[in-house]
Amino acid sequence: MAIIQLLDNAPLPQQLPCVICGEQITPDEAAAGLLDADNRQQFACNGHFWNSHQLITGWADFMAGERRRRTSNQFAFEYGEGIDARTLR
Amino acid sequence: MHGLCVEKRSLNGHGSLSWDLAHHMFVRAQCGKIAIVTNKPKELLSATRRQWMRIYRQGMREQASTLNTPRILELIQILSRMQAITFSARSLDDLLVADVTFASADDFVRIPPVCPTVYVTYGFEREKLYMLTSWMPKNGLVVVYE
Repeated sequence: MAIIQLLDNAPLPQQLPCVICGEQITPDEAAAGLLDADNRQQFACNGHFWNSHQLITGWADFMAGERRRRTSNQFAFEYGEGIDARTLR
Repeated sequence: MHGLCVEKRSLNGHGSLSWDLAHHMFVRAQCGKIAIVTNKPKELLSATRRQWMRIYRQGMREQASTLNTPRILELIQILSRMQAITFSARSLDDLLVADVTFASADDFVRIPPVCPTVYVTYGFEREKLYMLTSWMPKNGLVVVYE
């Protein structure tokens, strides 16, 4: 169970962050998940894939966070840094 | 398989192949279509769909039991997408029509999948693996079961 190749064929890093628990894990302990708001592949511990509760809630929270980040990136792109929906009201 | 991420998985006593596939697919289904390379398409489809519905029901329970609003909103979207996902094990005529397609390596070599995730569940020649992943977009993921 391991990540053996990354997108750009670059050498594998020693540690990858788990997006669910925030722990640093080795590629052997990692499983590939979703892409983040910047289109980068994100990883999680294998253990989270074996536990339905952690899998469902962990990835739902990650997706909610990335959706928020994507919206704020979009606002920054369109109106400039520091602008959000509240300040535009 | 340049430009693709490759993950090796083994079951190691953690459930069946269909159970592990459904759990991994729960995450990757949010990225787009999925191709599953298998020598028993129909059998694996029915077993995986059964596991898929179990995760769906677990998701409904999670949604009902949480008070976290962003999580509830996200789960509503995930669950509606899960319900709408289509599975197919019919022989391929042209492009992948269903969201999750089960077929043999020879079928996928004939009609390479253009999708961000491919699961390989049995062993075959390495050249075939290169050919069937040749049309995958950059950022794609190939999961190989050992």
